[in-house]
Amino acid sequence: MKTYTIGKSIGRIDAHAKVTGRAEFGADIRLPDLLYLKGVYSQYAHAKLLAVHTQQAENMPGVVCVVTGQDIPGERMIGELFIDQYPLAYDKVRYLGDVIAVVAADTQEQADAAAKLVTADYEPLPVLGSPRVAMESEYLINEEYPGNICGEVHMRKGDVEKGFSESDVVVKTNFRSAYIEHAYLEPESVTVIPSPMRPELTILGSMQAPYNARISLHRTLNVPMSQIILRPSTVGGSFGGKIETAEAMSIRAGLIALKTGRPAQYTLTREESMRESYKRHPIEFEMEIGATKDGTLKSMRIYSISDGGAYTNMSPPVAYKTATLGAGPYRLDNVDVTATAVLTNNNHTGSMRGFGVPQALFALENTLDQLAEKLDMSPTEFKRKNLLKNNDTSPAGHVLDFHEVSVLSLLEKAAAELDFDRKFTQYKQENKDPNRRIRRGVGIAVSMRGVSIGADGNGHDVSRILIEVMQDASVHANLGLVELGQGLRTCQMQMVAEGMGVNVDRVTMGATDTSRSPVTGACIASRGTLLGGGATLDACKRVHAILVEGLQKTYGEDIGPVVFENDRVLFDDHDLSFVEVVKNCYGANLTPMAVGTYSVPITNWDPKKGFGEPFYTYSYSCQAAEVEVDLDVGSVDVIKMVGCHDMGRAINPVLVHGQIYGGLAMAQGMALSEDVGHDSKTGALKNLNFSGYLLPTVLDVPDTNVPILEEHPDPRSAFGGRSIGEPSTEPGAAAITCAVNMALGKPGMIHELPYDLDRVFAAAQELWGEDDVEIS
Amino acid sequence: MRKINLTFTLNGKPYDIEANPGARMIDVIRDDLGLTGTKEGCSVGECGACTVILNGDAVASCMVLAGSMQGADILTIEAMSELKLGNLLQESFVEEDAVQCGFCTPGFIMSAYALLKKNPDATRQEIREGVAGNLCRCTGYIQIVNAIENAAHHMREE
Amino acid sequence: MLKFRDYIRVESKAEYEKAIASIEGPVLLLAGGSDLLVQARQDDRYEDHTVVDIFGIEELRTIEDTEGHLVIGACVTHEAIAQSLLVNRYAPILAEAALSVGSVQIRNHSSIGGNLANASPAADTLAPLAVLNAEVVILKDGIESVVPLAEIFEGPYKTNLGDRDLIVSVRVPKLSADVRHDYTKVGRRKALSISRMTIATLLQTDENGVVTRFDMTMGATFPCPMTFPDISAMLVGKRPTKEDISEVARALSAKIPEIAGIRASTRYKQPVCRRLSVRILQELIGDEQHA
Repeated sequence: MKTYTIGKSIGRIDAHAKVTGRAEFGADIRLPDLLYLKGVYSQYAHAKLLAVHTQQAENMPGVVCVVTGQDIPGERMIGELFIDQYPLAYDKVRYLGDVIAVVAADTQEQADAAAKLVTADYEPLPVLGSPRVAMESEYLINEEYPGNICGEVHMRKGDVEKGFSESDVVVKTNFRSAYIEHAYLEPESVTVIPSPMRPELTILGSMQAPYNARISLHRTLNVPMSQIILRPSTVGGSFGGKIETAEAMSIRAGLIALKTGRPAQYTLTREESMRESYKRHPIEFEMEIGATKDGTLKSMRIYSISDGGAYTNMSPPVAYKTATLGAGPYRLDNVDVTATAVLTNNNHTGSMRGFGVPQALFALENTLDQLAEKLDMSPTEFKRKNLLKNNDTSPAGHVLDFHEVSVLSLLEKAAAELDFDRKFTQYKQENKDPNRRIRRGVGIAVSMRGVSIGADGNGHDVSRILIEVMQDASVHANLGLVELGQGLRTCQMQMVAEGMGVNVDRVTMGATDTSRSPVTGACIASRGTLLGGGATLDACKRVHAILVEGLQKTYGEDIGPVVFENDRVLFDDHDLSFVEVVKNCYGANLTPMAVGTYSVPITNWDPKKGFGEPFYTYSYSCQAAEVEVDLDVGSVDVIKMVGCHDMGRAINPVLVHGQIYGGLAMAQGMALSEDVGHDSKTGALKNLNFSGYLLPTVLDVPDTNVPILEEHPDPRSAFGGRSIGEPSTEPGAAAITCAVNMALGKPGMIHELPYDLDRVFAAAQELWGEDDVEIS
Repeated sequence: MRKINLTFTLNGKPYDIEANPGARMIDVIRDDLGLTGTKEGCSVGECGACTVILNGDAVASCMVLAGSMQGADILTIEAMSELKLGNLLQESFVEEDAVQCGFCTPGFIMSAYALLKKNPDATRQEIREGVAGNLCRCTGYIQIVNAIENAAHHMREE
Repeated sequence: MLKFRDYIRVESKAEYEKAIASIEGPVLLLAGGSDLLVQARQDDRYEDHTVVDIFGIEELRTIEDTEGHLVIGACVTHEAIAQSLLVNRYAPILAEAALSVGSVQIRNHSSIGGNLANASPAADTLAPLAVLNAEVVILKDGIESVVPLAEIFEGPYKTNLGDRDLIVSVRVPKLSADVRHDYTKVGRRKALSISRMTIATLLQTDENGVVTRFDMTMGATFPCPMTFPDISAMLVGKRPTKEDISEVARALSAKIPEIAGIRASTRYKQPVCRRLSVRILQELIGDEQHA
């Protein structure tokens, strides 16, 4: 397919505003008469909330009002899929991030001072500080979930027992990941502006999923959806993180705006953001994998338990992805995966870039390296033998006959870029020398990413876009998928230009505004390109039909097929400019405006059996890492990473590179340094700011990282594109860990994330003894 | 509470203002002067989003009390478009796709500006060290370093 | 916005003395603020304190080269120390340590005096200052006195200085050019890193390879900066052998449980200290090492 706009690295549309400091983020909003808010957090991770005392705070200077959960006029709980989250706790508190009251005052200092005077009466309940404790407890955090299990997803195929009996080698392992914070640089901020005319509320600020928020605001505040307008500001990073928290904040601020008639701004400090916001799921894995002597994978059993924290949030769908994608892109006849999610009194856990899969790949790839070693094969040899190819059946049972299954090719490219095979042999040899204290290792990991929500949301995965061609032939597109920094709106603009057949300069992406952009679901789950593209193509067809109708009025009914391409409109022997055709359309009193809709086709998935087509299509990835490990200190230096990805078609290659570079760095943090940490007795988090929660700095991330794209436009996607945001961070932590374990000399040695100094040093001690070092 | 009087030059403009003694420099810049290009990401000097230039030095404006602004010459992101090096950095950040969510971007540009003013011949490693106090969660840094290197190169050519 | 009772900025020592005499209630000396502002933000602990901002006192911002000492004003920033020709010439280990502090933004607005007054055991400059035998000049009740570095510390985040006592300067005996040094910082990442442990080492040998000076200590390990004459004695007067190095490393790392007690971190710090000490000494002694 010849393309004019997609596939080109045009500059991102918001870059200029961002480099000049003019882009308006949530906390940058200044309005007359603005109220400033401060939330009061629960003192207990689990307790009955008997009373909240606000009188003293209300009497403080500048305080305009204090709201509690009792003030919510409508439903008092929210949730995207499972309604069990307090925007303001009213009868019970379930974790230390629960907010029991919000103070509104004329200045932030006044609000902060008054918030300290809010007290509450609690009846403490036992803190269920880990999934295992929660599963055995008589206390239920949510009455609906026996054993506190809020989700359990299976994927099963064949007969694993038979598979193990036919295997020559079977390895059993355990792995565990940590609490990861999204760590968007911008802490959450929302501003709610009441209308003087109606109960109408306009909500600005940092939010990833405005349509979800609209539903919750409507339900809790009893305001019709038509009078709730969400206009996300420039969002300072999200990675899945600015959904439920931002939504709860919008409700609290909305309550105050309705009560006072004044605009209300609610900005979290970093510590509050860390305390309240949901995290990436910590997951424990029990793995059992078998293969025959020749290296053929025979059987795989995975049992995982994730800590869902206080609210169901996205735990069941995260478990769905852990289960359906956690076996990786391998050919496998016998598989049995169970992903269980458990409620606890820890921070709730929800969507974060990768959605339950980076953890699973960390466990999977390190187990496979152990298996490969037992078979005397290198990781690449083993993978070459077992990776999926065209027309193969995926572990879930999906026959992959509809697009290019490129993962083997990605492996070869990533391995070549890192010089994996040579280094693997060389380092393996070198590392046999016990006197070598600084050792090198290489690791490689692969993934297949299900695009969009998957069969878990069969029939509910829809997006919409509004495209309007103005009288001057400029094109205005309104899309509800939010720009989070990934470059989505630039890519969508390119797809609109391509679909309309116009020069990209004609296209303006309107700011997301729920009163103008039709409901489109959230910008989550690797769905932006597939869903946005599908809706765009549909809208373009509809607008074209209106323009053609205008042409038919002028040139006659039988003008035949009309081609819109490269800013020209071709039919019969006519070659008109787009401008002329638009002028003609308006001249005929027609309206070249349409809403396009796309819904992901329903796939054949049996949730009971856990078999079938869990997703409509997939992105493929391979990431490889080289590391240096200092056995005497326990430090790990990442020397280089390669991210090789097939996202179908790269709508904008430079932006795709940006995603890959960023995804690799995020994976590095997950592997090496990031851990919110928590006290399982009190449910308190250990690291509430960036002094303890350690993101990789520019000096930690290798300057030599390399992104590689392999493009096979996907026939199942309107413009051939799939997703890159999530894939780009998916296998990285697995690859780094494989590399570290190789350097340590034992695959699977490190099996817990993150491995900072102490953990690596302890592993080195165990393997290479404390006193066996020859001082030479 | 007694207010303190502050006179200083910010982005080339003289100011004579009153501030709360507990105000930090970022509070004065964002709230009193309304210059919101400077961002508050962590409030403890760990993320660099609030970086401004105080008498030629990059500082974290959340870690400086307003009193330090007395008599000082201060630059924020809002002045960069008017300065040759600032403008080169901004254009280079756009060109090299060094911007994603953009929240850390002003801080990076300010750190880079201070660095290149002092050391126009900064090597790539010196650039990396010069912005090591700025965190970015989106980009993985490489394109940011490319952009600064590129701006330095253009500056030397001109 | 932070909570203080008042803020006074002083431009000279004389102004400082005048100011503290007139202030009622507790005084909080501000010499940059990178530690203080973090603490002030946590709660209202300084609500009744008057901040006296001494960071702008020019007399405290100079590095002087006297006959035997470098006299580093208390308000000299970490960045200025790191970049100072004098410090790099006469106390390069201190310059290295100063460069490892936080980030350039923090180094530009934090000072050596402020760092000492904060008394964080993890402060990067403490171990180098200890092996350098640094002294501190204190202005107390109008009288200046010189005290050894270790004497001002009482424990983690605790000094024996009163709220109106001013650290005027740090006096660092100048090293001759033939003193070799090593500053090793173990951190969890390569920038913006709080020390897990630092090791500061000075070593000097004569033309025969006999050690004439040896000082080695750790930072971020003990409640206060420590020096170890017994460790120094293990090498001074010797042409160190492998065994000597090994013995020093063992003895030095044994100080960790001895002084700080056995803690969760000992399991890491003690063996890592031993191994790094061997590496550092091998590197410093180099070819002169004897079989």
